[in-house]
Amino acid sequence: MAPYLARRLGSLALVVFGVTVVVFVISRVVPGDVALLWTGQRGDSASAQTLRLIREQYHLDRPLAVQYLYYVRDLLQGDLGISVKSNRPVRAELAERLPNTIELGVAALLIGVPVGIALGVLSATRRNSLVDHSGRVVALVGVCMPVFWLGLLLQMLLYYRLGLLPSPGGRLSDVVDILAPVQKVTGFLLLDSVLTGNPTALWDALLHLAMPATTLAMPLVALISRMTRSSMLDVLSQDYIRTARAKGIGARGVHYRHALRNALLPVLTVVGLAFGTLLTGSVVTELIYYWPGVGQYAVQAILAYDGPVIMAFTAFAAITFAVANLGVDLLYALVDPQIRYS
Amino acid sequence: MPSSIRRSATLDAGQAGRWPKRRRTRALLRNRLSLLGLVIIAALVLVAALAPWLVRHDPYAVDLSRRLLPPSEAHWFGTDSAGQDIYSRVVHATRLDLTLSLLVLLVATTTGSALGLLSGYTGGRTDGVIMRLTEVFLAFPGLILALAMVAAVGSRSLIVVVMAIALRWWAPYARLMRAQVLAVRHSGYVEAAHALGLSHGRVLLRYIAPNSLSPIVVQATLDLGQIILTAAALSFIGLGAQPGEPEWGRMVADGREYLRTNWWVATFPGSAIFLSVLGFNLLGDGLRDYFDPRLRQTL
Repeated sequence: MAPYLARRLGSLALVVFGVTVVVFVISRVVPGDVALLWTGQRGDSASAQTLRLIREQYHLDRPLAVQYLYYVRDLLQGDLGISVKSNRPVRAELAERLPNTIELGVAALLIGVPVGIALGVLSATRRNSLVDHSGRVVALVGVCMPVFWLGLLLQMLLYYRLGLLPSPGGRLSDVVDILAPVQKVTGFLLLDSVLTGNPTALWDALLHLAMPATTLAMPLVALISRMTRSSMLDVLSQDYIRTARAKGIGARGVHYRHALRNALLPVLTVVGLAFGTLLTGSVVTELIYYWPGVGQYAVQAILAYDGPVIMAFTAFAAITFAVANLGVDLLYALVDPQIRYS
Repeated sequence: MPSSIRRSATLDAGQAGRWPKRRRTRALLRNRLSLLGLVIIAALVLVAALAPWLVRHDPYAVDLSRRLLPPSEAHWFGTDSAGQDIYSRVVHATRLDLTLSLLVLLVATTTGSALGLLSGYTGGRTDGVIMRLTEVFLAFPGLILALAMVAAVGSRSLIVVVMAIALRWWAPYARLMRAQVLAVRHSGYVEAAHALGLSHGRVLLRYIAPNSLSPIVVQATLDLGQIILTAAALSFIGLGAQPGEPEWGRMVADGREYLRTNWWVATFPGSAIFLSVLGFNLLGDGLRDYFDPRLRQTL
């Protein structure tokens, strides 16, 4: 295991290095003046002094290779630069918003993974039944529906038509925010409202979380249910399942004790892939639900050409995705005794 | 042996006795779904080609006296906040969305395949470098890399958007092509071609590349749906198409503020995206089954 781990960590380091190069190059391929673009294009709003400060801070007058070295040095020190728009350190701004994105992502995983697996198992064990056909429809919708359109449809239905859930606007209703504000402990709103014993805010936050989390979970449900189904079908055709059946074990025992355990292994790899879906999806989901997370922050930065923020977010997303995939691979190696580490 | 039999044999052996009927319904269903996909795509292509004759109003004509009208005889899909005919705009946008996605695919498949061929055929250090490159680009979620690229260049011209999306999508094709090359590089017919004294280029193009066509076609059909989704998301966010240009994602974004009162503004372009992605996915699944029955998965 140790050499395998070392090799995988080595290749992760290479990928991270490559990611920084790509992010840096993309930020510098601008036709024209980088500083001018970052300050809002045509230079009318930016004073000469701001331009000079930006050029100085990012060493824009030096050769590209030198600029890159400065960039990496800053990254290694945890310095992500200063947002051109707000004039605050990008790291602080990201850190403020990250808990919101993590809570949304975890909620989507908590919905998507169990629902996906359940749907997949039911579809496999009751092939061509109503469950199987509905599962197929759900999967098709999850894969083919643009996340933003799915989210807007949910809003139309659950908020505008039925009024079941609060309006898509951030994490808490204004009333709750004023009457029962959540004291900041960890920065994670749900966690903090539990820690400070604030059931009003907790309930309100959960209601606000329901729609965006469901939207984000849909593609996961699609991906995971299909994978579970086909993997379950494969396992069900194996000899040891026939043996188990021949021994007289009931369908339930065969399905859940013998088959599901083995069928879940390939599903694990999909969860790694799902992280990419989650990251991409959170950008769009946060945008349409006014969710104060990293994705919304990135979109605002992108529309304002706020270079340092865009660079930080892009690198962050790629590295998170790479690390998540490594984590899943290692977990896989740990769980599956058949994997050889050579 | 027909592919469907081989597939079902492995799949259904555990449920022996009951499987012939189920197999038939399943195969039929799959065929029907793939056929549906083909019909959807054919319709899309037709709509794109005949757009100027299908529109009922000028898709660019602004008429503020006819703002936000519900679907009617005159305006099948209603009108938007500028009084433009949504039906004509949805139809017209088919051109832009399909062209853009196909261009992305063209750039991605050609670049990816070329690099993959090179990688698999030369091996050694070139191979190592190209494969590391694919790893790096695959680490970026597609939409996010495209967003960064479009924002960095600061222009929304078609070519920039195409390049921005293709930037991430070439990598899977490079890997696919490389795997295919490695599989046949030492086979008899390739060695024979070498022995006949054919040049490397000729062996690559005439003997190795054609072999990889079917997996690339399958992958491309499936990817096309994802590319449409990425392009739509890009313009929904506000970066994909030029302002004013009819494009599905942007039209959904425009309809966002009218969800409560004027549902039709976002619904028709949103459904158009869903339908086209659905078409490519259904067809792609069918093609995959046809070319490689071992890989039955998604549906």
